[in-house]
Amino acid sequence: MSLSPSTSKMLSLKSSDGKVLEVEEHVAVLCETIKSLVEDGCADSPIPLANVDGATLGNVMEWCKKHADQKASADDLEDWDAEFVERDQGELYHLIMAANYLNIKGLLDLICQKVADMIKGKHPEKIREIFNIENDFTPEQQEQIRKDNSWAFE
Amino acid sequence: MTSSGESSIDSAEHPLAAGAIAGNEDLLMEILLRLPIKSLLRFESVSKTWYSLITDHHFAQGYTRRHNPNTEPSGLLLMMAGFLFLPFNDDGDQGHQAMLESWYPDNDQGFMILQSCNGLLLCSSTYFWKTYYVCNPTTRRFSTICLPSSEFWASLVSVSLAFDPLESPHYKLVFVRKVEKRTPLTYQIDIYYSETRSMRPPASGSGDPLTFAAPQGRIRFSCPVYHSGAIHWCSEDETCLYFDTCTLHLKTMPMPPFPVARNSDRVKYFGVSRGHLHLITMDNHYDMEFDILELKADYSGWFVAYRVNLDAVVINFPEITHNLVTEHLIYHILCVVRAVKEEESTMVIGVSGRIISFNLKNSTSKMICVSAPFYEVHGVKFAYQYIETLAHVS
Repeated sequence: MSLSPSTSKMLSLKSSDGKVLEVEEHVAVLCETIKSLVEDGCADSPIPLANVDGATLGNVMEWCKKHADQKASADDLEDWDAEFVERDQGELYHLIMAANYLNIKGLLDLICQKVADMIKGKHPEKIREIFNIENDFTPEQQEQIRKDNSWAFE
Repeated sequence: MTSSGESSIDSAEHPLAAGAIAGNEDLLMEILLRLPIKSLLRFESVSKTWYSLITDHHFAQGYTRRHNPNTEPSGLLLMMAGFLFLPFNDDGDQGHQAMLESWYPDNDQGFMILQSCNGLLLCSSTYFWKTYYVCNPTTRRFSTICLPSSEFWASLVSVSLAFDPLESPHYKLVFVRKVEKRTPLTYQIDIYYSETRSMRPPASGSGDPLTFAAPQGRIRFSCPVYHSGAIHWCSEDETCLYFDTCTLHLKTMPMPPFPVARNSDRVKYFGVSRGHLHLITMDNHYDMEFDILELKADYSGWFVAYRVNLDAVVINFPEITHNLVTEHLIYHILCVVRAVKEEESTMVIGVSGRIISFNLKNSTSKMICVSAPFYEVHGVKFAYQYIETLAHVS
């Protein structure tokens, strides 16, 4: 099946909150999940995406549109990506979940790197706060691990 | 609520999304793989889940495969009365006391480094040379290897560490022993495999242990270098030896040609950096101009990788003085570091108690340490590259 832009048709994507987005097929198939549906001939219209809200889906498709553009140079994409990730924390978390669900490796790489850059060097307590994690170590265990890795806290 | 200078991170508005990521091990792994090692060690104490993810064998392998081809050493470990860690990126730093002894098991026996190999250190106890340790100085974890017998130890000439995390998460130790009462002098090779935690001699074609003859004192067994799957020992002769740890074959390779006047101590440096095996030989001690040679990929000989002139170092640091008696600048070549960006490749030297990093492309130099009580004995410099790694040692 040819997926070139000239023959690309439109696909309808339906978000978890019921919003319907019309996207060119050659853009939408950057999502491996959607690509498989299209290739299997299961791309009912509209395609329901139960785990992605409308705002996030809009952001994802904005990224896919840019990266489906054959004319964009590598440098151009790099600059564009750097700007793309400059956004609210919550949007980034939603984007990670969406990129994972829709199986878009390039976008997942990009956002994971951004989140890694944001959290590196932070204190473990701050990490628990960010990710809403409960500290399940006993104070003694905690102290032992801290001691073993004491140089990492210098 | 964040302290000044930190980028603001707050999950309060999006606790569900952030929590969902932390609850999804695949996604969490994707983020962790992109963190520097120092952050990962900090984050081991976040929770039991994070601890088991970060300390997992497979995570260490995945992390190494992702980062290792480009890993440059972050500093040098100098072994003196204790250990001094000199980071390459701190200007004029005094270095930090690296308390390697404090995490090493039986510190009443003393502790020394023998070799640095792709992030792991081969160490031994000082007084009773019966125990060897393979240590990861980054995670401060170690594995203990005991020799089979005191006879084994008594005949031991050399121990080398062979570890390439891109090939295998396991390492090997190559033991070279003298075989008693044989003329000419004969050596035997035994190998310890970390995968099975066992020692065995590699059988030659006939099923006998692998032995070889070599003249006494010509091969520098004390300075093994692991490169391209093999342990290399340089020599003062026209050829030297290397032992392929995969095919278990011992082979010879050429040393650079001799000048007319033979110098018995001409090898000034033999070491590896990011896949390049380097050798520096000098016909006169402490030449100010010399070449850094690199082994050809087909092992047929050496080519000049860099031409070095140290006059620029003396001009840059006037406090460095020549020896009053010999009028030479007395220096020690500690390591050649091939940077990912070629224009950042350096050579680190010890001179007048200082450690100086010399850029091989533009001849600029910078002080790494202003007072390092540094010494060299029989060509062993007691300076070891420190390369961060998560590699497991057991």
